[in-house]
Amino acid sequence: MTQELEKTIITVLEETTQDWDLDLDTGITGETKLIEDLAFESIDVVQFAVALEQALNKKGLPFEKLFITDGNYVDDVTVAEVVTFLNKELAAA
Amino acid sequence: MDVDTTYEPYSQDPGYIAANKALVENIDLSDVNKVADLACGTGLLSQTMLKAKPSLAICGVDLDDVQVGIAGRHFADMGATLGSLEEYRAAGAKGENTVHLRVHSAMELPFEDNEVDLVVMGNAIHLMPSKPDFLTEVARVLRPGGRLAFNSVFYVGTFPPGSEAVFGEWMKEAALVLAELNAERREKGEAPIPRQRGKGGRAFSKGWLSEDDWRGMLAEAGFETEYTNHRNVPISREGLALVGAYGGLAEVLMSGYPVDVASHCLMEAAGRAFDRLDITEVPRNWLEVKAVRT
Repeated sequence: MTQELEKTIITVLEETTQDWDLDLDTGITGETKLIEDLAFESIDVVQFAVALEQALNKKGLPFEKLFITDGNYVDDVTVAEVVTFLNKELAAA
Repeated sequence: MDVDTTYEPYSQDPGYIAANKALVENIDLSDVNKVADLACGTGLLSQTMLKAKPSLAICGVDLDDVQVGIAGRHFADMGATLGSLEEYRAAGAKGENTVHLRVHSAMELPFEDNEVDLVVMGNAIHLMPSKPDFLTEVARVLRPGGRLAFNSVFYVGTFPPGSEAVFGEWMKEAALVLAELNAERREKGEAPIPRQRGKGGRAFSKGWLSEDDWRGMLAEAGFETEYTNHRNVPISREGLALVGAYGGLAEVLMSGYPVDVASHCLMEAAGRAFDRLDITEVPRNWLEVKAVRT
């Protein structure tokens, strides 16, 4: 499940960023950070969430739990953290 | 796209008006002659105070010339006297009304030291590029004992529990509306809506402060915080659509897309999110702060 999810997330991210002219030495991995490595802006986060919901055929996933902690936005999110979040939410569904 | 992206439509929303009136309605204006309304927008805060005390001299500054133009028409409709900065100064010294409006940054104010009795700022302080520098500048222009009153809906604590999900769904619906627009264009053989990456800041870099953060920063700048409040203001379906239509927010939330397209998507998405979640309103907290210059 975890490996499958990571593959789905990385595929979505690769499709999202294919025209972005990023300089990633090792490609997108579990350690890749959305902001620091992929230069995500606010709308990129939203479009990423929508693309994941479509890829997983699951609407209404509570991404705010991933992106907001103690009332404030997090500094960054890794692919591995997205995997952990989705694992938990899909198991609870 | 035919969308009014100015602040004017949202500034007419009943929830927005109630939240802002609440900030200034309880301010004691008895020893106030000269007011500075920073990032004044269409002038709601000043107009509320002017109704309570018609002799106020008011200087409203805003970076957006469209909002300043609308503010001028509203003040004229109220029968206020519009004048220059010098006329504002002279009227303030005599305790008479004059309203001076100018396109100007709130970071570098056009006032002498200790010149102003009251500074107000409605839902904009979070936008200041350097909050300590901004507060220092406000402290410079306020007389000792003068007051600063501001509110903000972008701070740590703004989301009542559970409400984050609604705003998240709103944004996701906006992305879906955009995808539909692009699908329509593809069907017609047109290129997708262009986007310029790099126009917005990095995601999550909101720089939101908590109430305690504001207290500390105000103290550093020479203020004593007299009052704070978290005012719960429900946003209606129409209110959220009007928020989305405002270009200043739309260009941040959907950075890089044409503003009219971004505004359209966010406006349309509000109704869809409310329908899908089967809700009629979403709560949001406004932080209110009043501080005196020591």
